[in-house]
Amino acid sequence: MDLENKNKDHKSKLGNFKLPKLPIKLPKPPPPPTHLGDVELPKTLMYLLPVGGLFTLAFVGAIAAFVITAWWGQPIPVLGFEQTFDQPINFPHTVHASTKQLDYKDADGNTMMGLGTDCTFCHRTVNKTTAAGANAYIPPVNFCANCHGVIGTEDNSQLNILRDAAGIIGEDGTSPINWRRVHRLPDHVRFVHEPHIRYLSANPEHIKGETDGVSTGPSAVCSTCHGNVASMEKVYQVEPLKMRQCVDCHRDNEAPTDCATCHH
Amino acid sequence: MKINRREFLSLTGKSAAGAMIFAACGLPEKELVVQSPVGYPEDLVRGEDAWYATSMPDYTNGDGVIVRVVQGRATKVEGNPDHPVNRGVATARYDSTLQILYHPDRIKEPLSRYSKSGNVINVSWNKATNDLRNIIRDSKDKITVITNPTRGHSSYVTNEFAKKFGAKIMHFDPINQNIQQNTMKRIFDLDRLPHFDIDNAKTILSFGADWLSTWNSPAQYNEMYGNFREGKNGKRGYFVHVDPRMSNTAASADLWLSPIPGTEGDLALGIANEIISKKLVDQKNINKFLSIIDFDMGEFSTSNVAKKCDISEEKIKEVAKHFAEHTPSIAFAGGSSEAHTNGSFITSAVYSLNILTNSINTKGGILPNPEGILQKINSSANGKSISEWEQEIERWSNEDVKTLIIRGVDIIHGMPDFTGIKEAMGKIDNVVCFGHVYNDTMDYADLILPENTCFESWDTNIPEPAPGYQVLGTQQPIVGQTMTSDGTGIISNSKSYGDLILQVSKDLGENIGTSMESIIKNDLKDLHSSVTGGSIISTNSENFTNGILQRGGWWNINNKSQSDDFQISTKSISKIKSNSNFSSVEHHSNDEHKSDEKKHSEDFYLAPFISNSMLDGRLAYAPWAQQTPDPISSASWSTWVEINSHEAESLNIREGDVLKISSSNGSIEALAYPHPGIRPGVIGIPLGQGNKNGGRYAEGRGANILSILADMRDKESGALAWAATKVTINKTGNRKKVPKMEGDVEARPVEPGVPVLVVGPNETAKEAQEHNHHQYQKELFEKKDSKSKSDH
Amino acid sequence: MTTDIEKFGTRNWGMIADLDKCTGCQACVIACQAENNIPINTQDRVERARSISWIRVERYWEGDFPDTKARFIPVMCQHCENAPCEPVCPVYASYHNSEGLNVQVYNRCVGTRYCANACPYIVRFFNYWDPVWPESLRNHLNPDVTIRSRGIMEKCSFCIQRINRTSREAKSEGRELEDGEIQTACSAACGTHGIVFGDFNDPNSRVSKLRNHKRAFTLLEQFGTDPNVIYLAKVDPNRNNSEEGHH
Repeated sequence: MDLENKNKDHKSKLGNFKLPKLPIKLPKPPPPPTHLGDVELPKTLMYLLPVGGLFTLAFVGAIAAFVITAWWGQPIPVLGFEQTFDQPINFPHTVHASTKQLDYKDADGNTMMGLGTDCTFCHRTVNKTTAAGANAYIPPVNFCANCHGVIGTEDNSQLNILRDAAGIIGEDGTSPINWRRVHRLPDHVRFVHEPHIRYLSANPEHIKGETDGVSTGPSAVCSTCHGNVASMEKVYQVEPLKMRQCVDCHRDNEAPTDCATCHH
Repeated sequence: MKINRREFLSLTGKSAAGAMIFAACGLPEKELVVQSPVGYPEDLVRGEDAWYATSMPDYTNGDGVIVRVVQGRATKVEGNPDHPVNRGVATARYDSTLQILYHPDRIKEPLSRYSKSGNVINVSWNKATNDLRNIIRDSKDKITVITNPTRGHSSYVTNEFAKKFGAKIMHFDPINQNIQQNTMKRIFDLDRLPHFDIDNAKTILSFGADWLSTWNSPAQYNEMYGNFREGKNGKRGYFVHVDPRMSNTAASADLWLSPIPGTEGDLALGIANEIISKKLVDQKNINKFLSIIDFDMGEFSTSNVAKKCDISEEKIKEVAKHFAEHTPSIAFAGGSSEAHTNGSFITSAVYSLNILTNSINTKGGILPNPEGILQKINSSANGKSISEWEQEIERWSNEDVKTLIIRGVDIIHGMPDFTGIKEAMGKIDNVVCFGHVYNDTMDYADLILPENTCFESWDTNIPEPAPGYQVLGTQQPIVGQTMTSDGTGIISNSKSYGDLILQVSKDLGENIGTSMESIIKNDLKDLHSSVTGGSIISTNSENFTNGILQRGGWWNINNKSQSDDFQISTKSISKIKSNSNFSSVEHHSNDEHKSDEKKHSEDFYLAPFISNSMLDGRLAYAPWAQQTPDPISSASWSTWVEINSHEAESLNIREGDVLKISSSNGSIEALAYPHPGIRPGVIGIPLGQGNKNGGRYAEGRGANILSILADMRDKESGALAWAATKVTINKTGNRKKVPKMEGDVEARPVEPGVPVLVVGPNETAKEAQEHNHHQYQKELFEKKDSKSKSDH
Repeated sequence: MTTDIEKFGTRNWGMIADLDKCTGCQACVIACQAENNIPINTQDRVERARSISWIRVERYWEGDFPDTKARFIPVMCQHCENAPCEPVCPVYASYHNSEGLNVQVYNRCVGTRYCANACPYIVRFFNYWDPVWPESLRNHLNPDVTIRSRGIMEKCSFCIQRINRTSREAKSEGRELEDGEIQTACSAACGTHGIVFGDFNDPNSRVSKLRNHKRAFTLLEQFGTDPNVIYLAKVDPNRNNSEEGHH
């Protein structure tokens, strides 16, 4: 989904915003005053004043709601708390990364084991030092097609989206797949995976979380921030990934907490 | 939709004000859209930001660059520290090429025009290629190919194509035509431009050439200039620049001489005469010099020259002394000083000064350049002279030419109007135009083909001037076609010029090669078997080729020119000794202006100069090139007129006045910018603007001074004398703000020497500061004293 | 277990700009523009004197025709040890870090512009508008640098993204940083190698040696800002022969 549509979504959400859903209980409006000091108020104004008050309250309430959801919500959606998206292809991390028994059945009808692929097999830039290593890049389509040109049944509709994009079937071999990003830090944060993986690999006692996937090498440390991705059918964000979390961890591990470490 | 904290604050603010909440956010989001590319970008597989070595085309003299590519996108261009031409340094123009690559108005699909006056419509590449093929087949032997002066595989392909299809090749460069190359041939018998060993020189005497910003090979010269300033053994070099207008080269000089335009040759001979009469150099060299002169040098006595050029005698003597005594020294001329009707004479006179100091083929002097390592590729190219162009345009008018193939130049923008090129081009049946952004020439084109930029295509670039030895720069596609951010299309469906010409030739039964890539790789393979030394040494030809591509080229510092290349021809200057002429100006009877206390119709020498960032206009499409402040005026985005500040005052011209500049061939309007760095009687106007088309950043901006140049040319070479036009200036009465950086920073009352502290040759910064301080105090007290005296 | 933590705060970054080598060619200006995602300075912004250039080349006139002289000086954030911009910031968005950098934290900044008023070098720029690039020009943006939104200050960061990246690489490869390994965009672009970047705490670095050069001075020294950018004075061989040519 592109940005415009996303914006529209939120706009519509805001349009539907109803007062009763507010987490703040509104106090009962006082009875309309009939006198303001000694001045007799016109009747219409008497009815308008409490309405105006209501509006003001609603307004403040809306802002409060906004602040609260923005502050406590995940960084991706501010209004609404959804934690995952439908991706263009339902990519199951379980099948690829897990080492456990799965509910899936393979083409021959046997129950599948997870493949137990190392995270860096696909997200191969993640433990590199340079700028490209800042993000766990999603691999190119034809990287996927290396296997899925052969693996997977021909009538697998999900895989056919991939094969189409890679030009194995269909005519058009040039359009990439627009994956939606799940873990996104604010724009003013420059996060680089590599030093974190390097440190946690050397200091495994600081790893948090567990993984169903490979527990050796760089894959072992991912769960600290990303949770048990190997057990996820659809990836969602587990940790809030707020600055406090970053700073706490940096302090615990005596990593620099200079602003310019992450913000530049 | 993610909201960062600061945006979040602004949002709440907005909602309180009742504005549309999500109206203005999400700006940086698009830039980070996660998009898994279809192919493997090299950097992705390696997981690093890839820096690719490549080289830039003729407008940077084949400078070697490295380009940072992140996720298949080129983001930064820097000098290639390995490359021998620019040795790691950059110019203000490298990064602008990125903006041509990602230009929002890049031509997306081939365009075709069905009738001469009609609009262009998008056509498919299939149809465009078909059309091109038919055009070439039907107009065999009546084709002219117009390109920029290229030295590389694309020029090889063009040459072969021309041979096979009977086409004529015309190189176009509005500014640097053939005088340099002709002069080198004439006095030194050199086939290509020589190398100036500025690194090792102690004195430089340059005439007109803006060599620190735009002339010939500015990156190379800049790099050497740094070493020249640092000096060998702590002895700092001395640099004299001669130019009526102060360029940033002149500003960098230790001494700036501003002669009357067109008298630079006299000045050079005056310096020679001073050296000869004072016997400042070896008699042997004097004799050698006199052997190529058969007129009386007495004519160029210091007092005569001083009068003629309006330069003080002391300065001429000082320059002569420095030039003769602090050797090695180099003298060279180009740019505005060769653009006179006696341009060949001036250039020859200046270069022959090197004979006096024996600076030819010696360390710290002028070194010959060898021919290129690949025999089939020309290592020298220059624009055709305006006289040759006149003949060519005549052929167009006579309909001797059926097809024009134009690539790499905007000839309608660059050619002065007096040539009648617009009418003549209208008579051509088929005009095929390659390019990146819709330019002025494309208004006349029947078929417009979007071309790959230098970051998307295979080529080679041979620098001219080379650094004294053989260099072959390779150019490789470092990015593929770029997707639009929504992933539904590509920015430009462009093709490589070379590949397309090869394909069409092949379709018509003439096989030149399959693709640029294969030709270049084959040639590199051949190179492997023919060379022994050089920058890449490998036993395996594939490693050799890859090594060259990785490093950005091949060079061999031992492959220098043979020393007997320099043969000083005799009597070379005498034959062309001449005075400069200037175009005459029609004086309009300005009845309506008579009431003015001072008329502005005095004649001015017009000194056009090449823009530091846009050159002659070929980078004008890039917003970075547009916004770069000019080094002297700090102006951008416009065309301005540099005029001496005192003269402006007496003519009542203020900064920002819209002036009408009229020559015998038309007029343009531009904003006045008075400053003290230009000779009174001369006005300087930058090239580059005045594009009718050229995308959102260039179109309709400023004025094109080239269009109104008078029909003046160097008698000897036939080159356009673009500095020999005289103009009148008139105030239009309008006034606008000059878009410039100067004045953004308010001046503060500070002591002299702040902020630019200047020290004498043996002075320390501390001493200079103290000296300035005392001087300042003294002046302050003197002022106070005189004030209190007058008070009493 | 702190063995693998990056050693932070042992350096003192600084820059040397040799005015004798400056030719005013603007290569540094555009290199900076490209490296740091500085929005396009449109004509409108230039005319309103609201253009942003983290480094600019100023030109000063001296003397009059025919002895006119133009002097160039590149001016960027001086990263003052005693920076006037820092104490005035109400939200600590401008602060000094332990590597000698004057850091501007974009996400802290609330746009009071006090720092811009306090800075005597006028090298802090306020974003009066949201930065706008046409869709396709976004491709050349540097992913390492935050795009500053409307309403915040920005300024030269000594290309901190390059410092961080190169330090990280060195750390990852288990070696010490070499002198000259980190190049800011301007120092890499400088046509005459006139801008040198390095660590003042390393006595053997080029910047440390040049700092004691006899031509070394700092800009507006009388304000006592103690800048980390050291200039080397322009040499004029004719200076002692003539009177001071200032106006």
